[in-house]
Amino acid sequence: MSAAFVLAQLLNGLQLGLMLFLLAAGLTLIFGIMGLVNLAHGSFYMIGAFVAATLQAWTGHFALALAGGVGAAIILGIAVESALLRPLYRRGHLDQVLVTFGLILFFNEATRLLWGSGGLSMQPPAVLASEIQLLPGLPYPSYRLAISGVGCLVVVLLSLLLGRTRIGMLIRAGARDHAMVSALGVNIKLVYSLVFGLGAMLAGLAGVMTGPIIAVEVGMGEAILIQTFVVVVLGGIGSVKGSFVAALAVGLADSLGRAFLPLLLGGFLAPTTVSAVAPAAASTVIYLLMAATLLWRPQGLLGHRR
Amino acid sequence: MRATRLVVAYATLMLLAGGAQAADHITIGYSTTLTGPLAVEGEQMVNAFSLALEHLDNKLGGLPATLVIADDQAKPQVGVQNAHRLLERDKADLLAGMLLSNVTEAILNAVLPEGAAVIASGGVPAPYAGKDCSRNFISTFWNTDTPYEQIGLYLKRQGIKRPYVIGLNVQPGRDALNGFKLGMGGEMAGETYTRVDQSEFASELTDIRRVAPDAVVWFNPGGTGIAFLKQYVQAGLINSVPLYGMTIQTDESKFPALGDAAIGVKSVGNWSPELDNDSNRHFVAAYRAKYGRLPTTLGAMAYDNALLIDAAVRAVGGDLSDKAKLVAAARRADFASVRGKIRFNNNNVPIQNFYLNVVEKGPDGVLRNKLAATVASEVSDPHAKDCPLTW
Repeated sequence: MSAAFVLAQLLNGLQLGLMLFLLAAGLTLIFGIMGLVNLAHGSFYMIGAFVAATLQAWTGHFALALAGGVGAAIILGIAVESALLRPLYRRGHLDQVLVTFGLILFFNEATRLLWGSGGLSMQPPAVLASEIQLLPGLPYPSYRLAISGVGCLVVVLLSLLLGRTRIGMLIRAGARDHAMVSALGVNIKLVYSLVFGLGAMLAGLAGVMTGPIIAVEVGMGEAILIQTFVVVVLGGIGSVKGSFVAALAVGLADSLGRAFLPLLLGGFLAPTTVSAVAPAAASTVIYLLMAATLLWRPQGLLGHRR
Repeated sequence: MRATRLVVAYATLMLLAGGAQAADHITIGYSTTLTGPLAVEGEQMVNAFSLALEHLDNKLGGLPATLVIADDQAKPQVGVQNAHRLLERDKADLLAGMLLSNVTEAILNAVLPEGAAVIASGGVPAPYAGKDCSRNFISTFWNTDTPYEQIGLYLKRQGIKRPYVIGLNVQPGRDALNGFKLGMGGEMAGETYTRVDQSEFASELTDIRRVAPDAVVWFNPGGTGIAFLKQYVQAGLINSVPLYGMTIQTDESKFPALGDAAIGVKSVGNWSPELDNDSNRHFVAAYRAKYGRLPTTLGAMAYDNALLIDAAVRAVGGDLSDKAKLVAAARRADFASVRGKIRFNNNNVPIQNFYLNVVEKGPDGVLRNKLAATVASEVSDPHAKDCPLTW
């Protein structure tokens, strides 16, 4: 086992973490600030990817596809929030889960009607289609590095927006006591719409960015939703920085578990036993990580005790 | 009153007549997957089966046919519920279709003990190809271990020494790769199983690069298989390590999602649109004219499914009461398969040829599977020897 192999696996873990973060950031904002459990988050991810893939097929430009996919997610997000979700803020989480689960079914069938059930293909932009030799013996697809770059950019921009701007202050105040913010003459409904739009935008961005490396197909949002919730809970609900740390931890744990558990178990078990045990063990690693962390810090890594 | 008396008279007549009775109508309970990532495959099956019915004037074996379609959602328990509903409420004379072999297995477990007939076109679960083979079940397709066993034998002949196998961590995935090992023999350079919901394969691809095998054999027929293939290509591995799987993972239904990532991928299958026989030429041309694209392997199997039922019903003279007799007639049936002439093994799984297909881009810019070679002829599946049935 060479150093380049270990390094490549570490990089894989960070990269998966940043991909998860793109999706978790929007979810934790909506969950933490508006108190809304949005199961349909994956639908915005899917719509972003479908619109982007369609635009890329028509125009051949990745940048246009990116703008279109993200734009579609924002518009859809704001429309859904103002038409369906507003009455739900006062209701319990169960009602929210019911409505947003219904939305998943609706968006999946609507996507199938519009685009068919065969899925779409999406390519990375031409400049990022090749590999970069990071170190001797360590080639890495450059598009994956670009996804990581976008993930880093999002965490910086979100921290600035929430921590350093007026709208960020209103969002944080609304999360703490929305009645008081409203009484001070702030249109809290508008703030909520903005937050939801921002969350949908991040989901759409994640969909467009991951489109070229996964299958753009109906139901793609649900497959990744569970891991995303693990990230949000682990990081502390509502904490963007917490989600960032948790996403990296989950990405690393999952990737390294898959990479090294078989090799580790291979040291003292027969090969047939390893092939039976290792996949099951590797798939439980992130849940063990979550359980252990929540025992130690029930509010999550960077969450506030409520 | 008059109506009741008529019914009673009719019933008495039927009783007196007894025994063989030609039905005046046939109802097919068609079970496949029409939602989720496999919906695209299920649609091709329904398209092809309906096309065959059209070609047969909506009759099967001369009887006017009704097709009742049910969506199993790729879930065994839903498939079983549907099967009961089709048989009891819709009075289906037999069940057809079937897609995922684990769903098929659950349905067979439920309906075969009740004496129902299943004439399907889905993958045959390993137990039903082996010791649990049944006189009431027959399929036009294959047992999934078989193509992988053939890939193993083929790669061995090609001088491959250190293959790496990667498959979905589900029973069919393990069966398929065990089939490969059976054909290949010897040690694998590496063996990995991935989660069903996993769409990120960077870890596994890095491991493949570390091991540097001389071929990779993969099993992942679902949506995550598309992600796996795209990432395999993007990692640049496709040029250094050839990738082999079964053709249904890289055929017509997957091309829209795969795009050019599919070019050059090699696979082994039991059918190709290029097979040169009258039935296949007719099927491919008609499918293309009606649906605007080439059919898939699962579509071809569904077309054969309808032709097989047609031939079987004709052979028993329209008597649908004895299900085992109907299935026995199917296995002996002389029908114009799109694979040319095929016959059935003692376990009611076809004895058939296997072909090597390579995806290429035609001069019209459309992706297609090019039939590159015949890998093996007249192949029996590895489970047939465990089947106690004799005919």
